[in-house]
This record gives sequence, C-alpha cells and structure tokens, in this order.
Amino acid sequence: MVLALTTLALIAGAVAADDPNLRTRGSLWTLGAVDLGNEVDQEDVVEALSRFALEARWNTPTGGRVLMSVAGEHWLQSGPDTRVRVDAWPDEIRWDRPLASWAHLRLGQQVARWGQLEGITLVDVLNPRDLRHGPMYAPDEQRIAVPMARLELGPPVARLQLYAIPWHVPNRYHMVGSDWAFFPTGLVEDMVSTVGSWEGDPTTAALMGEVVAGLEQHISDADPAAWWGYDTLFRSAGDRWRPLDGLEGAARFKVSGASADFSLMGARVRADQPTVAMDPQLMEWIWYRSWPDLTTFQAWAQEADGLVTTDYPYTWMAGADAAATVGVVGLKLEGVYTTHQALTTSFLEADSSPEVGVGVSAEYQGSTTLRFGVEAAWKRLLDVEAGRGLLARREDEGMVAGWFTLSLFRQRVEPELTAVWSPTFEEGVACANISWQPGDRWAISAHTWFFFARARTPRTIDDLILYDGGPMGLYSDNDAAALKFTWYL
Amino acid sequence: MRTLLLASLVLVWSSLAGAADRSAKEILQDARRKYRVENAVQTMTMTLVSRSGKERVRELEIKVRRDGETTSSYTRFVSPSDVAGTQLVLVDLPDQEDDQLLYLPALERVTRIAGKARSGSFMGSDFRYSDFELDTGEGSSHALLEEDAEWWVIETTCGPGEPDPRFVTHISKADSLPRKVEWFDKAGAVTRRMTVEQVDMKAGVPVPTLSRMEDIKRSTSTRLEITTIELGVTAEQVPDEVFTSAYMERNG
Repeated sequence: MVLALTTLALIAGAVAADDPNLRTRGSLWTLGAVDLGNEVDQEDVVEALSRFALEARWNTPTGGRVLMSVAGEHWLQSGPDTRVRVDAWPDEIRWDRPLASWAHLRLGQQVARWGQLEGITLVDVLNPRDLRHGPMYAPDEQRIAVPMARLELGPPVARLQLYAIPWHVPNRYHMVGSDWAFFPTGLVEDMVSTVGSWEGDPTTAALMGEVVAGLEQHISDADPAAWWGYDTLFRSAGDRWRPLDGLEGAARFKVSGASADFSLMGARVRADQPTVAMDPQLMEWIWYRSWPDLTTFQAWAQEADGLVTTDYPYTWMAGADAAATVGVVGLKLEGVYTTHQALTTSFLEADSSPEVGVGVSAEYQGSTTLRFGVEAAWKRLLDVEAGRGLLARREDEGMVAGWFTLSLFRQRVEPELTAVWSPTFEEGVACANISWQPGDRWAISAHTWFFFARARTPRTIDDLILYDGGPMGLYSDNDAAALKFTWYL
Repeated sequence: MRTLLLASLVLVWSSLAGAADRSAKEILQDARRKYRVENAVQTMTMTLVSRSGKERVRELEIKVRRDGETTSSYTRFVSPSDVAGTQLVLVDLPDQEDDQLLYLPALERVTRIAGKARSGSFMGSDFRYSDFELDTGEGSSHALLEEDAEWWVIETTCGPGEPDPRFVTHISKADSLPRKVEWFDKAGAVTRRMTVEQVDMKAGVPVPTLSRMEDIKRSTSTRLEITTIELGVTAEQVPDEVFTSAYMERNG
C-alpha cells in the first residue's frame, strides 16, 4: 500500500511537471455482479468490484524510458454479511534503455509475456496471476508485475533475453472468505461445526469440544477483518523464504522472421500456484471423525508444523513456441516440460511430478474488427503414483478454448464470447459480454459467466476429499450476471 | 492507389511536371518513382465522425523510414486511454506482400495481420489496413479517364483478391498530390471517398496536412490532421529496430 501511494504521488508529480516527454493515462471501472444461483446461504449474493489504474510514461533525456503504474481496488461482498476490502498496489514500475545497438536493459517491476497461446498458456511462467476475482478481472488485469532484471542481447530478428527475478511472487488468491477462494464458502464453517460431534477419546472430545464451540462461535461472529486474517494466515503458512532465497532465473531465445516466429525458453522458477497440505495426522482424524487420546493429541499439538501449509516448489522448465501465418489464419504452437509440477492430492498432501504439455491454436486476426480462434492443449504428468488421487488434476488432461470478438459501429459496440472446456473433467466456463462505448471517456458493458461442471462445488471437507472435478468445477456455483461502467481518464 | 493514400498521410511527392502526355500507368509509375518517402517523424490526430456528427479524437505518433525501395512505418496511439498503446508496423516490401504487425495492449503480444484480414477497419476508422499498403496488387490496370490543365483523373482496376474492384484518383498537376480518391463497388456506386482538404508547405515541399475519408454508405467519416511533422530526419532518429516486433514489445 505504501509503495502504491508513493507511485501514485510520483505519477501526480510527473503530471504536474507538464513535461512534453511524459504521457499519462488511466481508467476506473465499477462492476456489480449478481449470483444467479445462490446455492448455499454463505455465498455472496452481490459483489461490487471497482478497480483503478494509472500510468505515466516518460522518455528521459538520456534515451531511457520510465514507466510507472499503480492499481487499486475496492471490493464489496454482500451475502449473509457485508464485507469491504480496499487495496492498492504498484503495478509496473520500470526503467529501460538501450546499452548498445545490440543490448537493451530493463530493470524494475515488470511483465514479461511468454508464449503464443491466448487462453491456455503453457510457457507463460514468469508472471503470476491475480485469481482473487475469477472472470471479473480481464486476462491482462490478472497478470501481476514482478521485480525483474531483463537483459536483451542481439538484433531484433534473433534476440537472447536473460531474466533474473530476486524473489518469488506467487499468484494472488484467497484461501477462505470469498466465493473464488481455494476453500469454497461454507467449507471451513462445515468442518468446524462437525468437529464438535467427533467421537473417540472422551477426555480429548470434552476438552476440544469447548475449543471448537468457541471457534464455531468466533467464525459465526467473525467480522471482515477476522476473515481476511484467516485468509492471510492460511496463505502465508509455509512462506518462509526471504529475498534472494527465492531467486529465479530464465532465458529465452526468440527468432522473429518475415512470416513466422520461433522461441526457445528455459527457467528455474517457483510454482505460482501452491501445493496446499494439511497436517496428515489431522487429516486422518478429520477423515475418521475421531479424537485420539489426550496424550497423543497433546504431543501432536506441540509438534504440529501448522494445520495447513502452502509451498511453492522450485521447478525447471524448458519450452518452445512458434507462430506462423498461413493465408488468413495464424497458427501457433507451444510445448513445455516441467520437472516439478506442483500438485495437491485429494487428502491435501503436497506432491509434485514432471509434466509435459503441448498446445496448438488457430486464429483469425481480422485487424481490430474481428478476431476468433480455437486452442487445444494436452498435459501429462509423468510420475504419479498409480491410484493416488489428485485434487483438481489428472494424469492426463485435455482442454479446449475458443473466443470470438467483434467490433461494430466503429468500435462503439463490441460483443465478445469466450469459452473453455475440459473433456477430462467434463466441465467448462462460458463468458459473454457486450460493451457500448458512446465516447472516448466512458463505456458500459454487460457480462455473464456460466460454469458447466459434472462435479459440484465442495461445501464440506468430505466433499473436498472426494472431489473428482477440475479447477473450474470448484467455482461451478458462481454463475453470475454483471454490469460494468468504465471511465477513461 | 495505396501509394497515393499513404502519401496523403506521411509522404512527400516530387513534381510530375511535364508528364501530361504520358499514359495513366506511366503517370503513376513515374509518380511512385519520383515521390520521396523521406525519413519522417510526425504526430497526427485521427477524428472519427459518426453519422450524427459526434466526434472521437485519437492521437497518433508516426515514424517513417525509407531504405531503397522499402518503406517502413510505425504508428502508436497515444490517446485516448482506451486505445493508447496500440501499435502498428507496416513494412512495404517491393514485389512482396507487405508485413503488417499489430500490438494490442490487452493481448500484450504482437500479431501479424494477413491477407484478406487487411480489408478490416483500421482502429474503428473509415480507413482500412490495406489502405496503408503501397501496392495495388498483381493484375491491376490503370486508365487515364480525364485530363485538363489542373488534373489527371486516373482509374485503377484492382487485381483479383483486392478489397475494392476499382477506384478513381484525381491528381493535381500543380504539386502531383492526389486530392481526391473515390472507391467504387461492383455496381459502380461510390463506397468511400478520400479528400485532401489542406496542403501546407513544409521545408519547401507540399504536405497534405488535412485529409478526410468518407464512408458513403454509412455516412461516417474520418479526419486525419498532421499536427507536427519533421521531414528528412536522420536514419539514426528512426533506426531499423523501430519497425520490428521487438520494438513493439518493448514499447508495450
């Protein structure tokens, strides 16, 4: 927040300086979404999300360029109670300049987009995503800038890019407290409420019964700050590295030809999405709903290393992408090999496996007027113990996606359709929106998103353990319609 | 004809005086041979005018470089916010299909625009991507329809696969600049009309500083106005790398 405010002040100062080499722009949007199902009482019925983004670009007298941008949001969730959260963060803050005709340096917090596919990205591993709001954030708004030094060597047609990332920045997500959280709404409440009825050792049950009753009451009465406290607690469990301890490095060699591009890339990075592990002893008690004897329980309580831990394991990745234009069709290809793909098992144990993946895309790029395309990807985990259940993953996974955007009436009206379908999990999501922009300063748009899933959103710990759906099924109760107003500054 | 249109945007033509007795093809060929696409840096405003007269204004920065018979242009939208950051590179390669690269900030990557896709509207305006190309396509032919003391009127019949079947260009004999171009559909009706409304002398050469493209069927128009222009800048000011996807990605 402090960095964000500092960036904001710097942008304001730059604007006040009235430098002709300075360009600024900004936007503010407010979106109100209504849940179309309201399947469980704890769900949020209405969400109102507002986001601002300000940006200043300055060409320095010495030939360098500075980009400063800041973003922030105001988020209101209204369900059984009303919660408001305000946040601001520095987005891209970077300086770059050519060092020679064949060398270019960029330092600071930045985005480095890898890969050619649009909806299903396989090699785009350097920037984490903001997953806190599901489809309420556009894909480009989801990409999080990370601190990075990037050195680019060679002529424009054949570039070697070297990246150093001093510390790891994970995906932004919520563990609890949101319909888009990793533990869906209602799950924690259910888990706590059922603990009170566990059997087993009567002494332990009596002792813990009071604690659980108190915890249940606390959750029932929890104010927004308490929920976000739980969320932070869960997410930070296992975050033990310090700057430089999480150093990441990457390289890409990119060839840009007359009608085709080709890249090879490699990286040693941490996983963006964590493995989430519950203490195995605790998980056993939860599964059997039985308290151990007090001595065992006390020994466990003294030695337990957190009830839930998250980890972002290191992995090596090697990948390639290519793009070529054939007639009016753009053909794209991506392939990746990952040494340690982060996994979570059904019983909330952490695991990892080598993984290979390939993706193809065919798209029609009719200038800025019409775009449509289809993508398909297949991933295979190469070392998974037979019969070991994985949470929202399979040994073999396929996915297809498609999108269609059209610009009508000179970019005043723009309908857009996107869809993703996983034949592996028999689930998908379809989003449709239409925007109307009567002038340069504001636009209004209507959005809707529907999830189609065989598996339902898990609402109890048993549901979660037995969950056999994919990542989209976790949010299959979040069908919504939304109205959005955008102001361009 | 796209040669002429591009000329109206960024280029400077040399005189065609003394060309009165030649055929239409010779006039155009000579025009193309004689016009000089100097290295240039300019800023423009593109005003989209709706059927009801409502206007939307977009600011562009354009860099142009000529290397022999190859002309390259780089365009970046700087305002308003919803289109700022959009970049377009066009490399006109003699006797080859031109390279067109488009960078859309929302996608954060460069996309090639190919073939028939180029008939699409350029950023919501009445211009098409194909309007910025220099070639008229294989199989095109030209005929001198009229000639008087002030004008050559030349009809160009486009080759197969081109978005328009034919167009007619009015070229001023005074400065060899095209002042009016009309595109026709197969039925012979005018579909679009470009008019050069103002020509100013810059560094001793005539520059079309205000042009208008009208879509006759839709009753919309787009006004292009050059706000600043530097002609004859050095090659170092518009280096080769400006016209590459690498540069577009760096400026994204």
